Amino acid sequence: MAHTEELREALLDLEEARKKEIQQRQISEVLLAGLQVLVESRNSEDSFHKIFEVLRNPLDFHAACVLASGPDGLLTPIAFSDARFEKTVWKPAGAFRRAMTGKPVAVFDTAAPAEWRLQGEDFLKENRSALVFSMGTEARPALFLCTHPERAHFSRHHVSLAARFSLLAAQAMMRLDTEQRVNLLEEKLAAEARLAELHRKLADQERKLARVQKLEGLGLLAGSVAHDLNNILSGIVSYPDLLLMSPDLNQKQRRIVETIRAAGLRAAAVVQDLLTVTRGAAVAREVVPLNELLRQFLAGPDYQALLTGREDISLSVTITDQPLPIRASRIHVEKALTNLLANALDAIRDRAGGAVAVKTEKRHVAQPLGGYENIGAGEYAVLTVADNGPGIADEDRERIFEPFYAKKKLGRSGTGLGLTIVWNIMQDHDGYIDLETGAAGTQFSLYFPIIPDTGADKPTDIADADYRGHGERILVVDDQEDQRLIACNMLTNLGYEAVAAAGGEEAVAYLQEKPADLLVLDMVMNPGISGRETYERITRFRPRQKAIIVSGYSLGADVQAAQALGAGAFLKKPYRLEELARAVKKELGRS
Amino acid sequence: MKIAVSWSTNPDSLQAVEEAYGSLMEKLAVPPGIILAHGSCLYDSAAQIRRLAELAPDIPLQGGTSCLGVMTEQGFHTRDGYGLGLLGLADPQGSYGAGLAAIGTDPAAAARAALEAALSQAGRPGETPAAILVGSAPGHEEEIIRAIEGHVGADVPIIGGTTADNDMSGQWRQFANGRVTDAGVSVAALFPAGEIGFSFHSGYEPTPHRGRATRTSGRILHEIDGRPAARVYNDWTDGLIAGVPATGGSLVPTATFTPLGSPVGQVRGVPYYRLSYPVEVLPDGSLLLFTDVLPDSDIVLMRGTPESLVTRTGRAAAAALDMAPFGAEDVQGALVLFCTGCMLAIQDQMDIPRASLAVTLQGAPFLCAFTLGEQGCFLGGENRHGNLMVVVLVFGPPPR
Repeated sequence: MAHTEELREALLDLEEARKKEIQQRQISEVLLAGLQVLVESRNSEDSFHKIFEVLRNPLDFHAACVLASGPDGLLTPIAFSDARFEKTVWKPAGAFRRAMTGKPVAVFDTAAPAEWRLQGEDFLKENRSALVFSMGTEARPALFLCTHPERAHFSRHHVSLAARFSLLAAQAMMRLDTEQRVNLLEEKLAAEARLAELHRKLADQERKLARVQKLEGLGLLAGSVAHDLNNILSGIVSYPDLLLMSPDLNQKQRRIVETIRAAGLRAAAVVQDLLTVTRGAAVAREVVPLNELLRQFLAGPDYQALLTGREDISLSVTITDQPLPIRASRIHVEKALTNLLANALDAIRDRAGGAVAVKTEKRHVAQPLGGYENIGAGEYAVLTVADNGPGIADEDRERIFEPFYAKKKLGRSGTGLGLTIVWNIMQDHDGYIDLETGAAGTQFSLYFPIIPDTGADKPTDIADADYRGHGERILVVDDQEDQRLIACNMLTNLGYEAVAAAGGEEAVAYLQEKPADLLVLDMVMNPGISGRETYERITRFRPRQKAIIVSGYSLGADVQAAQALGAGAFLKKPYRLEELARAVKKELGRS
Repeated sequence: MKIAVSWSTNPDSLQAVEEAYGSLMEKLAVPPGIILAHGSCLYDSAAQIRRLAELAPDIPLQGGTSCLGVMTEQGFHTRDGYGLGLLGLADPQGSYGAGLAAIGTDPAAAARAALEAALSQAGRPGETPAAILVGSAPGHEEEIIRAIEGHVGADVPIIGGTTADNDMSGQWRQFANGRVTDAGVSVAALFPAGEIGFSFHSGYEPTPHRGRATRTSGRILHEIDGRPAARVYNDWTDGLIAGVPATGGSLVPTATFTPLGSPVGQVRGVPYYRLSYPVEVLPDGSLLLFTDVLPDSDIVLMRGTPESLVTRTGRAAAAALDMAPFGAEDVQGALVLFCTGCMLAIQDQMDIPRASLAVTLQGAPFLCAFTLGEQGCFLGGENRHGNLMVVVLVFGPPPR
């Protein structure tokens, strides 16, 4: 008998197992569908509505909502399947708190638990029983509440399904939370990386700015020193010319004077470099085709002088076919090129297989480019000088543009200002310098903004056949007596009638009394009014008054203002007789 | 969750309860969430329960009298008809409550009142418990089940035992929370943090003898297939009750191995049965059963053997574990309700069911009470009252 009974029990067990399997399959299907919704849906409200649909049949509910806790501790629906839930507010008591801990709570009679006391009588009649379970996380608590109009509707099976769904939902939500936290962390890290990049760029900018400020400060100092030196040098440079015009000098005396003049000219060259270091030195710019400028330079004596004795090196020049019109001071660009070439040649000195390459090209910079300097977006004519020398050491890289920093003999002039000059020239040309250096060599690229090639503003050659004057009266206006004397002597020797005024006021007074064919007008005079104001006052009563401007400083705003009023060429002190003669002749001939 | 079981066969009511409670607390070490108490009717139950309530104030208590004593994993505890057993269930994350009501004239109302009291004490008014324990005086078990189902829903498993005395003399009593009745219903509402499993087992098999209950009234089966029920039963059992006086006489324990059965449901065409113990032949040739019998229901003569009764307890526990969502290794403890008639029939062999329970439950503590009727939940989910049954409720850990 026992055997028969055991068979019966085995049958019962089998049936039980079958029922369990069916239930498990149903539960698994529901869980899978629910999890799919949770994982795939990024929008909470949308996902909750999908979950309502997924769970509606298995849990056999009539209405459902998802409740979330507010700052006041009350629960309100964040999603609902029935509009009657929309305005409900729930004060969590025992049942909801237990549900929050993860164990579903089935309510056979909603009239009894404290949570339902806030709801109206009609609501309770329509929702006699309920099932509530957690589907949130500790960080984001949420309750799934579903109801049925029949009392004691929700069964063990419903509770079991809810328990499993709750558990997996919590895991899914935690996963989503984790993903969100990871995303947030990644965003934070990315933000920190961006911030770090900004800090790096800021530091880079600050470093570059400091460099610019340093170079500008040094330039200002150099300009100031140069002005004073100019005044001192004027005598050394100018008087030899006057002496050499005298027929009374013997050969020996002539050689001595010529030596003095040559020394003065070399000193003047250093001062010229110093003046170039001053910002604004290359303000007088004209439209220049960079390719033509390079060709002329390569054909000129300065280039040939550079290559003298350097037959061992390989030099290549690549000039683009594309027109590269730039607004430039030809002489300054040549000066920059000379300095770069001199450096390149110096870098490959005594180096077998040394090579220098010069190249022009047109480059379009779409996005600001972080090179040695930050190169703005735009079209550029790029002049590149490259060598295959040993490169520039990292510790020197930052400071090579500083005056007198050179550890080797940088710069053709040997003044220690070569690259400083290059840097200042590029600043004056609104351009950029890029520097690439390493074991394979060094490459300087000068970025000049390209301008539309209008063909205008072409350089004009001046005729220099006849410097001499024909008795025209020229008023020299300068606060420095020696400068007045030098200028007057030169002009007298050139056949002009030279008169002098020690300041602007005196010049104005003179011209109110007498005319002058031309003014040689110093710009910076102290005390008294400046050259610009002097010219301005004069042109009020002599609007066609011709003038050339001289100054120990580089071309500046005052000079430009005076030129705007009608003044002619600008001549930098100290000037040579020939330069003065040409400038005076040209201005007098200007209509 | 932690479960401990203790017992005492001290004939002194108070000493017995103090011994058992002391032992329980020693094993449990933490205050229990509920105490289930079952003891023989020879004790002064009122004094015992009052004392227990003093010892464990505010702790829900539910139980009733058990024939002769109790059985635990340690043995069958009875001495001269005395025996007390306690099951303490410590479960801080769970909730438990107990209630007691006199049946009076309205068993259903009493059941609802006791249940409401239990839910209230558990702090879970309106919430559906995981299971409900019931202990009632004999006679109204079906009404009580229907009332409870009507209140919380038919899906909640009802586990119960009709309180028993030692000799069917009406000394049974029901307890809850310091109170005792002799004609009442005690209820416990269980909201454990962990999972549960349960089974309702007969251990009997049907014989070919079957008929239809053509006339019934309550628990009286007047006729089977139009003939006096006692005569039919006597024929089916080959004259088992021929010696019982026609004017009426007790069939206990004569009918223990040949109860009547009613099919409750079917599993793939094979019916399973609720057992009814024919306890008395009435003067009109009717049989008084220990369960209600429905008119026109199928009546089947069931048959058991001492061997089947001895072995079925372990199988019932295994069945409870089969339906539980946890394994035997995770069982925290169990409550077993075992038919008094069966126990009396195999009293000398009770160590066998004890051992089989202990093996099946892997040494977990259990408390087994002996009852005059059993209430349980069949495989199909039907809560029923039966006789000669065994009910097992196992407690497990929370779901992982």
